[in-house]
This record gives sequence, C-alpha cells and structure tokens, in this order.
Amino acid sequence: MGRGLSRRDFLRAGGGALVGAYALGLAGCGGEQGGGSGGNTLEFWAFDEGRANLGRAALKTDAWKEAHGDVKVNFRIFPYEQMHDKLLTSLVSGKGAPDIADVEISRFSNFIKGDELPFLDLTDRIGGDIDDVYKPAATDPWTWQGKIYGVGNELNTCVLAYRKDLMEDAGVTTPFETWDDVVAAGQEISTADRKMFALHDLAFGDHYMLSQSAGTAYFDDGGNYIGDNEQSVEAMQYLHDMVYELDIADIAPVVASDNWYPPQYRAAFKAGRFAALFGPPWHLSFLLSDVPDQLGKWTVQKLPSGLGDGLPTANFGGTGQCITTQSENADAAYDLVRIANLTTEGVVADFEARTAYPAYKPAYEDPALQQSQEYFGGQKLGQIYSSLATGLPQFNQSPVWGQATEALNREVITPVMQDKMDAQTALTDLRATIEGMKQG
Amino acid sequence: MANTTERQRRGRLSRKLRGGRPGGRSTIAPYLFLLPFFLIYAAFLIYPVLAALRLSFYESSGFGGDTFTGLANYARLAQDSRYLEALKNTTLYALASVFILSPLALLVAVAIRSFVVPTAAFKSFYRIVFFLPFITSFVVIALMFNLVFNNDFGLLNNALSALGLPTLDWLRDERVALLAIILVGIWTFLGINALYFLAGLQNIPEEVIEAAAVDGANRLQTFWRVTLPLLRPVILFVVVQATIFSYQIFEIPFLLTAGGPSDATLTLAIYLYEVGFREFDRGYASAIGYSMAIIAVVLAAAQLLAARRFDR
Repeated sequence: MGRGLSRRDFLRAGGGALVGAYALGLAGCGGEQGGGSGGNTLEFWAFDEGRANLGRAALKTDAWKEAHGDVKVNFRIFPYEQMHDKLLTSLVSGKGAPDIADVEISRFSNFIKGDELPFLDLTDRIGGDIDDVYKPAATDPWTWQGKIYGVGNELNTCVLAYRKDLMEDAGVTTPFETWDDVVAAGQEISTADRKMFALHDLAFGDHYMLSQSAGTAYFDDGGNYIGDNEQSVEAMQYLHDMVYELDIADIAPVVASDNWYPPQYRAAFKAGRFAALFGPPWHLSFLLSDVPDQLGKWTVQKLPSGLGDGLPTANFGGTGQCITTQSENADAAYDLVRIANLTTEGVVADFEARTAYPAYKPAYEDPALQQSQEYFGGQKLGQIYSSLATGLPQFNQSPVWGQATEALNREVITPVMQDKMDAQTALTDLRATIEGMKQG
Repeated sequence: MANTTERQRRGRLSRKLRGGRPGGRSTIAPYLFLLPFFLIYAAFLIYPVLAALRLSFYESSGFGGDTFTGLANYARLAQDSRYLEALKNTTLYALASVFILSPLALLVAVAIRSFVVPTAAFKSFYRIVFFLPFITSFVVIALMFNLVFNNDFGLLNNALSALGLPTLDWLRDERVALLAIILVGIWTFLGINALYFLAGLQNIPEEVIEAAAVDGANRLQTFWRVTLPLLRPVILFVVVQATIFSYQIFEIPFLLTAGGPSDATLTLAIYLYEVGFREFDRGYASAIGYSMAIIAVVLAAAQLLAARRFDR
C-alpha cells in the first residue's frame, strides 16, 4: 500500500533538489566549454544596428557566398551595457557566448584580465593584411602582449571642425596653425549666447584627444600610467582655461546616460550655440544628421600645433570584432571578420551605409571615399582622414584601461572642468588610484 | 471483470495522489504543484546566493582560476574609500526614506482620508494619482527627471527663476546631486507608502475615533493620541521596508547620474555592479552584495527590536 508524502519527505526531497541544483550549477560553471552556434550557423552579437549591418554587408559579397554560402549568421543586437555584460558572463561560465562579438574599445580591457584570454589570437590569420590597415585604429585597441584579438573598421582620426561662415564673417584667417590662433578666433566670435567649444565635464574624450596631440598617452607600451606627465597636465589645464580663463568655451550640455553627445548637445549646435569641435569622424557625423541646416558652413582641418609636441591628429573610440574561444566554426567566423573589415568591398558597403571611414588603406582608392562632402564645403574628407592617419599615435591597451578612464572622469575631468581642482594635483593624485587597481 | 480491474487501478492511482488513504485528504498533489516553484527557486535564487557566498571568500577576477582568500574581501571593504562613499550616500538616502518619505506618505494618507479630500471620487482620484509613479518604468522616470532637472531648460530651474531663487545644476553639481536623487525617490515611492498607511487607517475602528471625540479630543489630539499609536504596526512595516529597499537603490541614480558626478550619488548597488562588471572582480562584488544584505538585516532587526521594546 502506497504511503503519503509527509512534510518531512517533501523537505528531504526539496533538500535533495537544492543540492542537485547546486551541483548542476557548479557543473555548469566548471564544465566543458561550449558556445557559438556550431555547425553551419554563426552567432554574432552587436550593440548597434549599424555595426551589425557591417557584418550583414559581408554576407552579400561574392567572397562570402563562395566560401560559406551555406552558413547562416544570426545577428543579435543588445543595448551596449547588456551586450558586454552578457558576453563577460557567458565567457566566464564557458557556455553561451557567440562566435563573433563587437567589443568596444573601453570594454576590451576586462577581457584581458587573467591568464586565459577568451578570444582567439588572430595575429597569424591576419598575416600580411596587417600592412593594409592603419594599426592604431584597426588592431591596437584589441592587441594585448603582441597578439591581436580583434579587428576594428573605424578610422578614428581626430580633426578640428569649425563654422567657416562665422570665421569669415569675423575676419578670422583659417585654417588655424596653432591653438593660439584658435583661442584668438574664439574670443572674436564668442558672445554670451555663443562659444567656440562645448567641452565635456563628465567624459575624458577632450583630454584624451588633446593629450595625444600633445604627444602623450595614459599608458606607455609597458602598461604603466603616464597620464600625469607634463604634456597631459598641459592639455588638461588648457581645457580648463578655455572655459574659465579664456572664455571661449562652455561646459557641454550632456547627461550621465549619454555623456558625449546626447540630444541636448546636438540641439545646442543646431541652435548655433557652438562654432567648433574637435573629434573623430563618428563624432562629426551628428552634424550631418542633426544639424542639416548648417550644410556647407562647416570645414575640417588637422589639429593645430602649439600644445606639447603638437601632433596633427589623435585617436578616439572604436569597436572591434572578436572571435570567442567558444566558437566551433572559427574559420567561417574569421572570414566574416576579414571580409567586413579587410576588403574594399566590405568597408565601402559600411561607408555607404553609415559614413564610417575605414581603417583599411586600399579602400581609399575607391571612388566612394574620394568624393567631396557637400556638408563640409566640398572638402574630400576621405583624403584628409587617410593622410592624417599615417600620424596616428599608437594605442597602448591595459587590463585597467576601462577602470582607469572611469577614475579619470571621476577624479580629474569632473573636478577640474567644474573648476574645483587644479589639473596638476588631480592627474598626480590619480596615479595612486590607478596603481591600486588589479591588473588580473 | 476487466472493467473492475481498470477501476481498481484508477482507484489506486487516485489514492496515491491523495496520499494513499481512501477518502483521506490529499497530500501529494499540492506538493507536486509546488515543486516546480521550489525547483526554479532553488536553481535561480538559492544556488546563486550560495555560489555568491562561496565566491565572496575567493579572489576571483578576470579569466582564470579562483584563489581562496578567506575574509580578505570583507576586510577590504573597510579600507575602500569608494565603498565607504557609497555606504554614506546610501545611508543618507535611507535616512531620507525613513524621516522624510515615510512621514510625507503618512501625511498624504491622512489627508486623503480626512475632510481635506471631501468626496469618495476625489479620494479615489488622489489614490491613483499618488500611486501612478510607482508603476511607471524607472527608465521613463529617469527620462522625465532628466528634463525636469535640466540646467538650461528644466522645469525646476524655471520655477526657481520665476520665484527669484538661484538655479542649480541638479544632476552635475556634486553638492545637490544626491538631493535630486532623493527627491525623485520620494516622488516615485510616496504613493505606495501612502497606500500602506491608508490600509492601516482603514483598519482603525470608527468607534475608537468617535469615543475620543465624545471624550472631548480635538482632531489633532485624536491623531496624536489615538490614530498614531494604533498605526504603529504599519509605521514599523513602512520603515523596515523603506530601509531594506533604500539599501538596494540602483535604477534611479544609475539612470540619472550613473553614480556621479565624482561618486556624489554612488550607491552600494551601483558600486556592486561596477565592481562586478566594469572591474570584473567577482569575489569582491560578492562580498559587497553580502555586506548589503547584512546591513539591511541588521537594521531591520534593530528596528523590530526597538519597536518591541517601545511596545513594552
């Protein structure tokens, strides 16, 4: 005769289930690696529709169809934070990671903590193609200890852009040779309602660009912090002074959720509150989409000299495609990365879709990249960017890059740009914070 | 014959499900219905909680193996200036929840129930109006308050200007950013807390209030001497849950200020997220999580003990 299940039995069974679940969980954490889609399918994670289209465009090329026409690619687009967080957890757990993932420059540092990198070393696969790219934009940010783990397509050559019509009306001579010329022009055109620049107090980008132009970086090639050297301090002080001493800049109208160019920042340019900016092509692209009525009024030039070494450009931003070690179809995954980033056909498709200037050198011979840009008074931006790209400073990655730049925002950029701390003290104090960060 | 056997077989199965006793009360079936919940609960809550406890005793960062470090992660908390800053900010937020939000919620509840809101229709209207923020998505709330607090064209600064008062950069000035977060917290959670008090007020028998009136007590005396003491269990509940939820506050400051400027609105939950996903230090993040749980449990226990002592 059957016996009824008592509460004690149930608790016992429940306890067993708990232990089973725990054991299952532990097994999940320590089990064999497995991810991607396997077989004839690739999983591709991105955080931006435009970036996913870079991959989709590769699928339409003859090269892909011939080699992997039977391979299906699933593109999944997540919000920026969610995608990187999911990628981290799936790679740590050893299960569920995609074959290919877009990894933004400042989030790559998390993936190089520890001895076992979760991405495939692509150095040998790239081989001789490395000579065809501008390395600081295409591979440096995803390079660690001499090995390349990702390939980026965006050439982030920084330039100075300004309203030529306003300069001409004010009788200012352009292009600007030195930053002193820029300041003089700024003082000429600045009023209570209009300034030359909108400088950021929640993001490190302005300082990062100017300190590179001054000839320095945040880390040397050994991964040591050098952000408190003379050039870096000079760049930070200069940014501060443009707002509080020279009166040619205002603090950029941004918010914490988008600390670079949110709608209110774009609206301020549309309203004519700012007459110039410095940044990479992806930054300038908002002018075309959000400030169309200023068509033909803007022009671009190299960064002026007069600050430190006075280099004509800097590197800022970027996203690379990385292949995870969980991929079971690495050959097809790499071919997709190669066609998207290292062929003229692939990068021109991306340029035509979202005006992303490529880091792949031969593409600049394509007519699409030699066209003049009506918005910028007929200038040929492809030529300008590619000619400056040869002078791009090397990017030195570090396992604490992301953390260090967060600390920089917190301990240097905000207090200095809000006039609460001097540049020298803030950058020097930051050394202790960065040196206290875990490298692995 | 065959039909009889089939009936007997079905009868046995039915008895098994009822606990084996013919006509007895069912014992297995309810547990079988409950089992999926407990399995899911074990896999998705108990397991992570236990795994995080284990992890908090390990050096577990980056890709590679974990190393047992005992209480090192917990010892690190006391020396971590960012953790202490987050603890301070979160405690200030919790204090505001207890000493500003809770009394305001009581005031709203009393006002809705009193002669201030005369008709039943108005009472329902105000109940809904105050409750709506609680069921609004945090993302929508953040978008809305980004506009309210905007330095150039924000509603709040416009109102301050109209009154001849100085304007403030609410979300970017570290002196007032936490105050802005507290204001949003009050706006969001006022309704639900007022609803708790309304439920408590409705449970107070009318005869007690009438008896006080007969004894000559005016409205204020009735409130202080009758209503408030009878509301003590609800007050305790509101204060305890406000404290516990305050120590978990994440979405509003994360979406509005991301913990900035310069950590002025960094809360324990945001710091936990940063350590776990931006610094990728899983062991230390687990220790932060457990410290939050311990703080919440200790404070809730202290409040319950204090209330019990007060009752005696």
